[in-house]
Amino acid sequence: MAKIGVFVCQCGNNIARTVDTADVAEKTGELSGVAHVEDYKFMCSAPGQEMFKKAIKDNNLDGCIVSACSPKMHEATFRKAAEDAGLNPFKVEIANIREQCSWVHDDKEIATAKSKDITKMMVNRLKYNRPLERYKMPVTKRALIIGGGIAGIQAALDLANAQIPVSIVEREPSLGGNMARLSETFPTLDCSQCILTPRMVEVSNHPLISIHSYAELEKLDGYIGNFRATIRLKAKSVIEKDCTGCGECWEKCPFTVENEFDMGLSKRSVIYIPFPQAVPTVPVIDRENCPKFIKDKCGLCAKVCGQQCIDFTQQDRVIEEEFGAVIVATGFKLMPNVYKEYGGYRPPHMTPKKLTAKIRKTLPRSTAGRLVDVINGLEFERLASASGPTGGEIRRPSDGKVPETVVFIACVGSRDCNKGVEYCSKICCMYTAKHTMLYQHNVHHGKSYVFYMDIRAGGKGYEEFINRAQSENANYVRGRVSRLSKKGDKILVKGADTFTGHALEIEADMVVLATAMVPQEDAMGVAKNLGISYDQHGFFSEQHPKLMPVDSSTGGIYLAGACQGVKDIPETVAQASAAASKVMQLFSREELEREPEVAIVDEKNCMNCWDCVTVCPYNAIDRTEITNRQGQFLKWAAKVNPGLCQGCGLCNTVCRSKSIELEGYTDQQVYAQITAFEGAFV
Amino acid sequence: MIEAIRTQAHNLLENKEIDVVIGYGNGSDPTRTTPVFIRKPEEVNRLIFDPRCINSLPVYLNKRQGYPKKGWKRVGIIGKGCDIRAITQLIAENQLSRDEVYIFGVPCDGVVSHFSKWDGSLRDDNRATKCSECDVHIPNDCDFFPGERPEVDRSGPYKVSAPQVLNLFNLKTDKRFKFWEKEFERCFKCYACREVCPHCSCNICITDRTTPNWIDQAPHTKGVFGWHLTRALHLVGRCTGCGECTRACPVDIQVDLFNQRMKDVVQGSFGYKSGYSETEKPPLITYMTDDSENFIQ
Ligand SMILES: Cc1cc2nc3c(=O)[nH]c(=O)nc-3n(C[C@H](O)[C@H](O)[C@H](O)COP(=O)(O)OP(=O)(O)OC[C@H]3O[C@@H](n4cnc5c(N)ncnc54)[C@H](O)[C@@H]3O)c2cc1C
Ligand code: SF4
Ligand code: SF4
Ligand code: SF4
Repeated sequence: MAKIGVFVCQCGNNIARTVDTADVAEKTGELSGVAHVEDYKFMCSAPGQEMFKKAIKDNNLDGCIVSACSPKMHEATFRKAAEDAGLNPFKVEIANIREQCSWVHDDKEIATAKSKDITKMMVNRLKYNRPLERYKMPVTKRALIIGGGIAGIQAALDLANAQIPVSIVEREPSLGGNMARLSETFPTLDCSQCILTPRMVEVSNHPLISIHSYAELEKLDGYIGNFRATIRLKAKSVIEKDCTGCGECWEKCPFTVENEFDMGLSKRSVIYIPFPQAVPTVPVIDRENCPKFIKDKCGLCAKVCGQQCIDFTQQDRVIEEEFGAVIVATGFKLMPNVYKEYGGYRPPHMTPKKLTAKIRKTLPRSTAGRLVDVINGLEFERLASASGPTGGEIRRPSDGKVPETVVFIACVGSRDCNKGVEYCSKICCMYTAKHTMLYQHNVHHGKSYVFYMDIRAGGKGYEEFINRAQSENANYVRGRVSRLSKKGDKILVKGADTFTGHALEIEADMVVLATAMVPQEDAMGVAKNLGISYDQHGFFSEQHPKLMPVDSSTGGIYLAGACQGVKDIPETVAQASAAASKVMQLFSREELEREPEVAIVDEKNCMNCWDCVTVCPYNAIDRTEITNRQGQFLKWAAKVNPGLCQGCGLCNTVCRSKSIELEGYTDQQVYAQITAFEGAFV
Repeated sequence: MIEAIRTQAHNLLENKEIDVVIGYGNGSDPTRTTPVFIRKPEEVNRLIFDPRCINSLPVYLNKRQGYPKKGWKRVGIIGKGCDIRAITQLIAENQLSRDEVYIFGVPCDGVVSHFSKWDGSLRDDNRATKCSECDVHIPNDCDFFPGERPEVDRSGPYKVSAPQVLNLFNLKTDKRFKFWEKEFERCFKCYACREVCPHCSCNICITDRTTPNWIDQAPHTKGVFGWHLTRALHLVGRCTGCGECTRACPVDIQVDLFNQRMKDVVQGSFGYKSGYSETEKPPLITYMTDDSENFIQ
């Protein structure tokens, strides 16, 4: 018969206030298999743990229940103590009589009865606990970073400076992300490029960092400590190792297209680097627009390149690399500016998918034609940037005139459950204030208006920054804009000032929308590829909103920057460094220990339907051939990779034949637990 | 029609391209048919097809029923459209591979609801309910079809279930419970409904598992409800609606009403129809980002 010890904790008064712990201990002591009981003030204290260990040794206990707080709090503590006392740690279970009982009840009688039930259920369950051994896994001490914005750059530098080799996979031809687009940055108004580009150069010179630009992660297999990444290096049509970045090719290229780095406000050549400080300084040919690829014409770049490094026949290369950890830093984009792009009408070529129902509703009631001078924040950044399309002079896109009146509209699409996204994009108040200043510094006599809902400036030096903007001539109008329409070469802004209650009409030369920050288009695809979870908007979810803000839902994968939620640069950098330090923690060990609570297969009865293979979110299940001792094939069966299995239990629920179970949560354990329930307190 | 099938079956058996033909033959009395297993070419004339051919033969392709029998490398099978959907579902669930079977598709106008209802002609009042809503009168997949096989558009949704399902569903929960409680009083857990089901393929059925004993074996209310609700859930997105469970029940319980209801739910919530694709995965084991339940994220 089992020899179980039950230790009921009073948790000072936390439990004892509503639960008669002595009664719980006494009643539990009468259960079959229970050999020892204790009722103690603080089980987790040093003397409490000593008593626990001593009781195990003295009574030769083969299992223990600690009736106390949530297993999240002290399961690990008591399992460790049991191990020290020579008992298999997985023969220790916690009965949660604090969070699930004493804290949520006032009636002592009922709470005591419930505590008895909870404890009894765990005692019954424990009888079926098997002693388990932890798995040991090797660690590959290399990190993969997906996304080369400021988040990716920071994380890469932190890791590489800690002697950890890093690979960055960046989709665009250059590192930099959205920060490279910014002109000056709040709250100090320092030039974005000036603080960013030295970092980019540092990355490119670092011997431990390899940059895969113009590349995408195709697949990620494996598990914490042992990932295998399949990376597609898109054909740049340029032989990277020979290219000196002299610029002959992009200067001579006779064809131009919209420059996405400048948000379409300028043109770039077909062979290009996105911006002059690009890292790496290797151009790529935009094959979709290059006449050489469309109709086999031109080929000028190949002729002018002194290094002979243009290769029109280059193919995409797919490489595989091993990593121990992954940092996801894929950033954000802005919600489409429907005013400018679609002019109030849904163009026929836009499928409803592309223009989501939510965005469609943000369309103004009627604005004929495209309102080209209604731009978004990033476009304004480019107009204000010294390296931008206007050389830093603020001129409006339609006719290049210097705008005399500019209206800034905050919260476009943000904080709007009906038409946009529910959350606050958080940085728009700040960058709008910054924009009014940049505008004022540029066009001294210009007039600027800001339509806002509230000002949210909770950051170091942020409120002061807003005050400065307001004192520098920007007119802040509290209220919403109801309509934008064309009036001659101006834009008529109709709105309301909710402080005075008056309707307001402003004839603006240019309107700047602070559109909501939203996840990248492919964020959900990336999440699925990596096996991490995301929220209803498509931002990647952290493991715990407070205590584990940089861990993703999957072990060994960490989050940094705006891909996890809206963030400004300081927050992005802080999170990137945090993610890097998590990776260092992980790599500080030679071997990883994995909890043994993973799925196991009853190979004989597995009917190889592969439902579990399909359902497993971590790709932890493979198909395997079962053979007899002579090596002859008998049947197929599912096989779990314990390194990958996260113990989520999904496979258990889909397996109709009950051929797959979770160690530590076997059907027998769960069944025993449920059936011990008496419901005495209801 | 059957002549063409017999000829083809004869040729294939003779050339050893298939080892057996599973089909229908005349039964013990004139209203009945019985499954036949033809191994010799000269026996093909035993094959028949008419509205009495009720049985769902794919159950013989289920490993739990001893499939494949000794010497069966490739099996010919006569399939009505609905049976072929069951075969497709078996393939989708990896219980069978497509090249193990040679499907003789038959055009079918419907079968009788029960042998006892057969009096020589098929009418609305003796046709099986599943047949009036059928979109596979012409099979959607087969290796042989007597004559030209017309293309049929099957992309639309299934028709809604039998009126009884809706009537039941419209009852208040307690009334519905009463109804089933009364019906289930008769169930003595013979498991005939399980044995005829082409999709019950577990080596050990959950109801026979004893470690732990999830479903009470006794035929009392708890045990019977436990069995039927589990059966219904285990067939979500898999049942192809042959109705054999109801037909096999010796005490006339319409157990397939559960399955029909589940079929509606799966179709309504996920747009999924079982038995039309060998590769599409049923909704209970997959998730799509546009599934209506956003909690799945
Ligand atoms: C108009 C505007 C003004 C702003 N002004 C300021 C300011 O003044 N001060 C301030 O502190 N903050 C400001 N911000 C916020 C700042 O831009 C962000 O905090 C910062 O850029 C976030 O960095 P990130 O690296 O997380 O994301 P990003 O900069 O978006 O970088 C993400 C990178 O990942 C790459 N990527 C994306 N998907 C993939 C993929 N699947 N595979 C490979 N690579 C991928 C992208 O190409 C990009 O290079 C402003 C934002 C806006 C919109
Ligand atoms: S779900 Fe169950 S029966 Fe199907 S393959 Fe997995 S373990 Fe085997
Ligand atoms: S418990 Fe099952 S479904 Fe969950 S991770 Fe492990 S093997 Fe995959
Ligand atoms: S066939 Fe009928 S009696 Fe037998 S188990 Fe099924 S429902 Fe019950």
